[in-house]
Amino acid sequence: MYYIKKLGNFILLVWVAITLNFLLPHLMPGNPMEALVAKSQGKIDPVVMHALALQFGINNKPLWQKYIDYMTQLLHGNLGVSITYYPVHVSTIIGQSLPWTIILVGVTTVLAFLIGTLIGIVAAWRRNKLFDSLMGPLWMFMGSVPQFWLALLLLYYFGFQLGWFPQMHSYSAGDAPSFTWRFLGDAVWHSILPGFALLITTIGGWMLAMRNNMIQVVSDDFVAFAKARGLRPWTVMMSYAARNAVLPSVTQFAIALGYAVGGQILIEEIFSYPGIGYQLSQAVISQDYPLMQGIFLIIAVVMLFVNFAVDILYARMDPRVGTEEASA
Amino acid sequence: MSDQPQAPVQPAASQPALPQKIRRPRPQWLQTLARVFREPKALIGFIILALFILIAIFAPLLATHDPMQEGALPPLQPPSKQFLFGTTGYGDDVFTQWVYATRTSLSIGFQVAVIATALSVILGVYSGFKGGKVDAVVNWVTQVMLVLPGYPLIIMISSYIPNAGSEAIVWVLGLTSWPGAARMKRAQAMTYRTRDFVLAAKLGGFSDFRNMLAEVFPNMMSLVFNTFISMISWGIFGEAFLRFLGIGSTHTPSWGNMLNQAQNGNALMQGAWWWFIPPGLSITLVILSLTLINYGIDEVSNPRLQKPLKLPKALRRKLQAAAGEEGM
Repeated sequence: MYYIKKLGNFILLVWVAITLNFLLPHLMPGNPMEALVAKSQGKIDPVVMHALALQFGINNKPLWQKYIDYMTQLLHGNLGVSITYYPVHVSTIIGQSLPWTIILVGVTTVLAFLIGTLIGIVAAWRRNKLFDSLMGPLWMFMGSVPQFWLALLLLYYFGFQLGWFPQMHSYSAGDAPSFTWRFLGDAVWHSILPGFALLITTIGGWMLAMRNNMIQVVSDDFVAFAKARGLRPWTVMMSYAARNAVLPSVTQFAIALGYAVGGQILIEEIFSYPGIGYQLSQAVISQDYPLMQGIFLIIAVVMLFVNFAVDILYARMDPRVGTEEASA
Repeated sequence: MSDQPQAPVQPAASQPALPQKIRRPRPQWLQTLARVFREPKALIGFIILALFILIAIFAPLLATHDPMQEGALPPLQPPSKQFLFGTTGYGDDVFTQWVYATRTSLSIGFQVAVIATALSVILGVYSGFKGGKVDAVVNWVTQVMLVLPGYPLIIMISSYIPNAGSEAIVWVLGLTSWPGAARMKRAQAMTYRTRDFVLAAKLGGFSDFRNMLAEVFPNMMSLVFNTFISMISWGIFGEAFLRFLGIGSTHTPSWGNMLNQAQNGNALMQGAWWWFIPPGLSITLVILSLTLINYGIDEVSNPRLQKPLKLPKALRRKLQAAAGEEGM
């Protein structure tokens, strides 16, 4: 019953996201087409214009008719055609940029989670000792730095002044993506600066969350008992205290992994890293509405799915969750 | 309930007059404030924030050049006596821009915070306290807003608004950022619904509205303040985020706007660090100060995070034993 309810909710939410995606441009004053015509100043082919007009549904059909058209298109997996990359399909662009985002943001999310959680464990274990009082303010400061500004600084110093790292793109110009060591190394090389900017600014959140959970577990009886049994402090810290405190962080981690698909709009933009975030910011700058809508839809659906999956997993791990909901 | 309620205080005549030295305790809120200020982290936060607020208030007095006189100065001058923070590539004085940008960014932050906090309090407290149909609807909307991807949604909405000025940005940020805070308030208001003091007020003839206003709301002040502070932080960051992407008016200088210009003007490639350091560092410092303030409030208002009191050793051991029996 619980699962069916969650599944129903998931489908409902996806429908809301799609409808919102459809309605937003129609609710706004003016229409994207007018903005585009004004902007292009006759540079866009009239044929293209006509195709776009059809696509935006700039015609005299009533709103519900357009809505049905939009839904049918979606059901056929047709997200439309990009304006900037005409006549490339939006889905093709998304397909090309997704892997870059997933690798860059995914890997940094995993690293940030591992490092942050570990620091949080030790900080809580040695609460109010030197390590704790150093780490708290340090990562709090790092968490306050706007990611995109840090990225600019890194790019300026390491990319431009010192020239240690490449300044843009995810691989060297003139290279074609392939699974050779040389290419992979090159890609890693290009991802170090953006990855570092992401890592540094997100560790703090994981650390703080873990520290707060851990502090409450550390004062539990079973921890004191484990210590009394003469177990090594490391064992008590990791397998007794941390293990019992880590569940909320793991949930957050699963959700964060899903959010990785959304990309990092500003960081990807600054490094011209060809991921989803970069495409989205480019779509905004060039007012490429079909691309924008398509990207938003993909991000929304993935995030909704991840939330749904986490709910289901949680119910499996903790049987109380399901019954509570059912009885409520 | 072993001790009976004491008889009303004896007439003053029969009692020796209270010694004059005992003053009335200061009002509760003053005591709380004093405790927050005693927290060194919070104090540092307040000092930094106050500094920026002063800059914002006295912007016209501090500005060294005429802000309207655009592009009249020699471009890309490094910091000097004449140009405290140097000049931009477009021939503007960075210091003057920064002073006025402080004004814009802070005021946007505060406006966003007012909108989001008010919404979250009204919706959260009302739905949590009342329950029923209203609660079901509000809760559902909250859930939907929470799982929709935040940044892409904000970008989408604001890019559909033609010529979005500061006001539009304020509303977009304010109207999209309340759900998380509302959910927290709802949860807390729900726990108050059945508390004795609320029931007593209800039996005493308080209307639901008066009860929420006079009994529930004051008990949530620390949470409300916390939300307000985080929302200022979010408003400032969100504004910088949108402006950096080039969304919104480019005429009023703000920190995000300055960064956007620096990026477009290739400040990085020309080595003009003085162009993008001041706005980014300001965002960092203000967000840091707000985080510190929130941390300080948390430390004071959350008993779990309070440092253990320095009690005599014997008493401490006694307390520990007692806590152990209660299964803490």
